[in-house]
Amino acid sequence: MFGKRRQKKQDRSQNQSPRQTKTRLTFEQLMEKCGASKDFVSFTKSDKHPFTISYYKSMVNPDLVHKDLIPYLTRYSSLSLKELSREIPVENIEHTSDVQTIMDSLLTGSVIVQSRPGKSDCLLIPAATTEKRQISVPETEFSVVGPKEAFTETLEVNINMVRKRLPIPELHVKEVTVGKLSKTRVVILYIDGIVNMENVNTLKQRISAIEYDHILDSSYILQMISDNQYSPFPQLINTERPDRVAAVLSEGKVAVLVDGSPSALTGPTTLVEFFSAFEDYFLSWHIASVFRMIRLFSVLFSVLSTPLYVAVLTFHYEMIPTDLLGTLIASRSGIPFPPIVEAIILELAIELLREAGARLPSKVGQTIGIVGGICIGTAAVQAGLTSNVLLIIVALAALASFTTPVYQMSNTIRLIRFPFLIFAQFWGLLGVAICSAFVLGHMLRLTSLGRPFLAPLFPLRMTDLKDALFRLPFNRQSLRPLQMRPEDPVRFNSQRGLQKNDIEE
Amino acid sequence: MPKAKLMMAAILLFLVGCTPQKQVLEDIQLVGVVGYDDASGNKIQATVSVPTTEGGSEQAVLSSTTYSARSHTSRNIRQILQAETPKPFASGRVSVIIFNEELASRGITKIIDSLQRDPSVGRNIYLAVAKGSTKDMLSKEYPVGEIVPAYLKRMIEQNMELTFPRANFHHFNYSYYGKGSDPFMPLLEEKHGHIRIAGVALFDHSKYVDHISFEDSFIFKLLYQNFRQGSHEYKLGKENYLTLENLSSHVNYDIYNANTNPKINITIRVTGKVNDAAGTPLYQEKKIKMIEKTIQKQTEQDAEKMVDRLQKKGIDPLGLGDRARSRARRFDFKEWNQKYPDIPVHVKAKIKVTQGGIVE
Repeated sequence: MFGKRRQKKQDRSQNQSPRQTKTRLTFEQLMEKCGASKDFVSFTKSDKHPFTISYYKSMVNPDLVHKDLIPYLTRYSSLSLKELSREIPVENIEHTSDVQTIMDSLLTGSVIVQSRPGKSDCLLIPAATTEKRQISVPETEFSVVGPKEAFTETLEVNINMVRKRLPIPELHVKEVTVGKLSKTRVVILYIDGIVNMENVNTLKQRISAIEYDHILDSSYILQMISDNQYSPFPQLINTERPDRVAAVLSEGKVAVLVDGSPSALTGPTTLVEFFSAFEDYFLSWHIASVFRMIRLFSVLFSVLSTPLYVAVLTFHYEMIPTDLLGTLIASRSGIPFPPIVEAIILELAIELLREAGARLPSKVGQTIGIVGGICIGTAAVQAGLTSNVLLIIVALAALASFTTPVYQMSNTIRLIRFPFLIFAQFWGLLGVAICSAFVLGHMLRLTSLGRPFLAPLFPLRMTDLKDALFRLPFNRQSLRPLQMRPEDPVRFNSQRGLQKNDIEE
Repeated sequence: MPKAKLMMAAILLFLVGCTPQKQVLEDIQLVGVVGYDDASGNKIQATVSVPTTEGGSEQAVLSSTTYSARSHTSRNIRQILQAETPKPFASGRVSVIIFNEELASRGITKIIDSLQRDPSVGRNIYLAVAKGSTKDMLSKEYPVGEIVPAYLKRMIEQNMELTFPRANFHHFNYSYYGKGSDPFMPLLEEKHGHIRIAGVALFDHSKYVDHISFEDSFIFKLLYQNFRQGSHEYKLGKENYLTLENLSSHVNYDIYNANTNPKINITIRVTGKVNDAAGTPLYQEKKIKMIEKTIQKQTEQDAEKMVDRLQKKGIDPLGLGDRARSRARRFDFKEWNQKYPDIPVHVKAKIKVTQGGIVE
């Protein structure tokens, strides 16, 4: 239903001619335009030498201009631009008279050097300055053991962090610029020889087809290139861990880094991947497997517990276990709302707390959690507005939804509880079943970069199951996931992987 | 695609009213136990026990209350009872249904019929016969820490794990509607401020005709089904008694010539332990052999006597007819029923005492 419309939209956008060719600026017009800004500087050092220097003060590293540029310009004042470019100790100097190129590099922090003012023939000397943030500890994907580095907002630093972990020439970095206004540099990373180029091409094509004026974060890209943009489920993983990126790259996945964004996108992804924390690989495989199971169970619990409560209390009183019946009747007696209203009030209260906690500075946020959780909860029960059984269920469900290691997914889980609640109210358990069927059907249709989203469960890929619901030990993981159709599916020789090279007498 | 959308729209438009009826837990009266008594003028009196709560949501106290009314049909009684309750009755959590002795001996066909048609009544509920009025039994309070419905249900449930043969509504229906078997159910009585199981109430189709004492229900259970728990007291010598605790018992029926000249051999295999042997030295092989022999003899005697008694009454709670039918072609129930009281039945018991507790 939605796929067709999306295709049409893409066709239309491809037929349109690119906007950039509307009118060509002349060099004078460009200088005039730039001069309107206060931070644009254009000057000639002295009459003795003819070179004119222009740049944006705010974009350029002043040290470089003062130490590596101006001294050379004064020293070699008699040289032509071409000869000068050989003398200046900066790499990638461009010699051009194309106004468009000049404008682009001027705006990304280059210094232009002209032999005579007003002449468009000039040198472009890259001197961009970037303010860097310190590399910090991952916050949304924190792990107790393992590396404690997270991506920062600087693209070069981020690529460095990945390349440090994969020091091979096969790690390819392809750059695309998107966003009419923001001109954001988007970088696609993959390991040549492992990755299936189909995935890379899909990703590249989708990113370059993006029509938008500003791209400020990788989550923009995530939403724009998703296979189904109308789905509440994220179809690519958003991670802030360079180690995770390195790991998935070596599985044959493709990663996307966006300048100015502290998180990378990786794909193609499957549903089960959203429930595997990267820390799973740092723990022994039994423990990691059990934790994964707990996480999957907690997702089910989180989505279904309140709807089941509503369904059972509204329609199926026969189903309540005898021992629980007394407790339930007692806790529900004297409450003025039907179960659905009670459940929605409590769910909204929890969402309020969560939202308030997320918007406030972390120190105040904690207080909000405690105040909200303890005070409102107990007061609501004492006032007879909600039953304490439901309060426990809702709180546990909220807690369970936090176990999802990917933030985007945990938001989805928060959301899809509500349709389940409504169905439970109208049709009871049947409604919960219908809603589950809808969600399952939707997930079956979902793809991530054209690869099935529910794999390895459906279509069933037995070999991929070893790192899906549970994680087998490393020596059993000799094959890369089939899901990505890697060009080189073998990680290591499985025979040798299983050998034990103990020295015996 | 437009077709699918149209279908969706049509479904949403036309089926909005098709939602099941809501029965919110706290807006209904959950009937826990129903008791039927006979009343004058061909009427029956029904008493329902309903759990209630008091004291708000935090310090709620669970108690039970009873409503009772008389009429000709049980559905109408429900209507009459409704007139005095704050919320409508719901029969989905009935756990025990009790019939008063007099009513049961007049036949319970009408009540059973309406019960088994009601889809909200479960099949894993218990039926029972009560000595005396069920209204009195249900409206009293018992110092057991449970409200009456829960008390009755648990009491019957745990006894069926032990010495009482398994008999819920499903089993009742099977033997009631099936040919060649008669239903039975627990017989309850109120004694010393408690309700107790007094024995097995035996039915001739729909009429309560006889009962076996609670002490003998173990023998009945040995004949009726394979089971793992329960215990029974045997006489050893003149003055001594011992208790056999059943660890596992199996019963096997051999039915010969079911159509012509029937003969039934019942074999009971019991593996048990004797803990309570009143001074008999259990470490001696000889003694154990002796105990086994005594128990075997008594079991055979008691069982044969019991089967004989059932045959004389013309009732078949063990389902001998049903078992015979399953082993013979072109089985004729009419003929069987005629022959039934005189069919020779032999019971053979094989007792094995494997444990004597901590001795050495």
